[in-house]
Amino acid sequence: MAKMFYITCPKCSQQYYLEDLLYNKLLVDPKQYQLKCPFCKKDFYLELDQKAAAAK
Amino acid sequence: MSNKDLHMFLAQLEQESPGSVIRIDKEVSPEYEIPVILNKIELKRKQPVLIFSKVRNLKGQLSPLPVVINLFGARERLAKSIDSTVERLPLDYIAREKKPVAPVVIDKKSAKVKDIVQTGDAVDLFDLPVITHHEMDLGAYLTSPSIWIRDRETGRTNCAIMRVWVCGPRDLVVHFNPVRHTEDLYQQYKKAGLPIPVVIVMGHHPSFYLGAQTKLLVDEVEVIGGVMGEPLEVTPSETWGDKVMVPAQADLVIEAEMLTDRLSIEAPFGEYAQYYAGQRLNPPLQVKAVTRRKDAYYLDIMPGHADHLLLDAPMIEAYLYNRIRDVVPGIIEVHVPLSSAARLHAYIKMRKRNDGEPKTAILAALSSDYRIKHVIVVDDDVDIHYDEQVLWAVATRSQWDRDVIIVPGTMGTRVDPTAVGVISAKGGIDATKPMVGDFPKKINLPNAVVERIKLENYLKPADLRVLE
Repeated sequence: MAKMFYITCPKCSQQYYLEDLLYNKLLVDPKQYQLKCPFCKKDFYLELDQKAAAAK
Repeated sequence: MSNKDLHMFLAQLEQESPGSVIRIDKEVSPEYEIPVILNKIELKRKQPVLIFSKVRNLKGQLSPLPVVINLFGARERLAKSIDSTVERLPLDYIAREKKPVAPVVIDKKSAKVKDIVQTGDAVDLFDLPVITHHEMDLGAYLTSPSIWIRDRETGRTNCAIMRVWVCGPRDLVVHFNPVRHTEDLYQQYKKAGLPIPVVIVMGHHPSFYLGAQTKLLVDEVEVIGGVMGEPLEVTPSETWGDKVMVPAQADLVIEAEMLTDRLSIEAPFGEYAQYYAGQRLNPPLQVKAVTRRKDAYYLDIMPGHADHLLLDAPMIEAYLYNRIRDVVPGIIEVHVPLSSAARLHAYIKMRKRNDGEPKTAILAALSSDYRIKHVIVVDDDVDIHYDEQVLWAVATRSQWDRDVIIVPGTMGTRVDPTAVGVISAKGGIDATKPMVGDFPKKINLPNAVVERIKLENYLKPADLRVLE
């Protein structure tokens, strides 16, 4: 099955998902890419607790 | 020369097929409203071209560009664009594709796409009525771009339709398919440490778009000319002069440099399989110039709907037909149905000579296009343009211990959520009647009575209108 890494936007609390290549890069360096929430359109960096949630 | 363009085609449609074009004058937002209106019309089983004359741009102001959507939403229109019929479209497409026609260079003064020229800081993509389609899309996307990139080694131009996210007044991010030819070109420039000159073409005659869908590794601008049936007129770009040409009669052209030294986030976006792609990394583009006709339309393709799915279908069907015919001469027709996003299923109609041919056809089809996942083969008494007829054949002419093939571990598409990366199991069903042994006769109505009975002689006019 496709790998989807669900994360929660820290600004609006809505959930969406990242593709595996992007997620794996962020695991190495979360500040490497700023993410944009498709719901509130705000920019944010992936935080550690979000990574943990996504890994589950 | 006729100089085929979008305007000529729409005028022809309105004159010859009243009702196939609907003009909407009420003001609309580019955010969701146009997709919702199209969707409501599609639910009524109609596929007209919609032209919205009053659409707000990304600044909330009324745009001077009317929006055209669903241009490709009916096979009849695609066929009409190359003087073909729905039945003949795939084969006529192949015939034209095999006869490339070199483009002709014309002076900028004769190029309608140069009516209005904006360069540098004068460019503001937020002036355009760029549409946001689905609820979880990251934002407003260009969905009709034919993206032209020149091969550094061969000098040929590759054309591909890709989605492009508008993330700033002069900033874009393009979605690249990693298994396509454009990815090879990207790697060429990246290794050389160079940005890629990119021409983004939006709005042209439908035959231009059909030609631009070719998968032949040739100069695809010449294939566009072949499919259009006339040389494509091109003219020098604003940014690179005569080193990079642009189509002279397009509605809108964006000239941009694709950066190869960095990636940007892109998506979610609703893709053809009707699922959202996850947020990902893709190459950013910096816009250098925007040129357009003074009467330009803004062409949008509705992702995941007939407008998007049918554009590729004739080409896929034609390639499958040719490939299968090499090994199974009794093939009659191939259809990729909308119910599979016109990519994932292929229906094959054939007149078999032995009971091995349907499975041979299945294997040929599965190896012809990486997106084809399931193949169903039926006899010549089944109309493969109707899902219910094909499924009837599966229901009554196949046995799963005898008629099914499964091929594990082949290359599929990432867009299929059940694939592992691009690895996918594929298969096919032989739903043809066995040649050996008895088989019951299909029910039918007597032809003489069918031809004699005319509904207008039996039903009241009001009841007939309900049936229209």
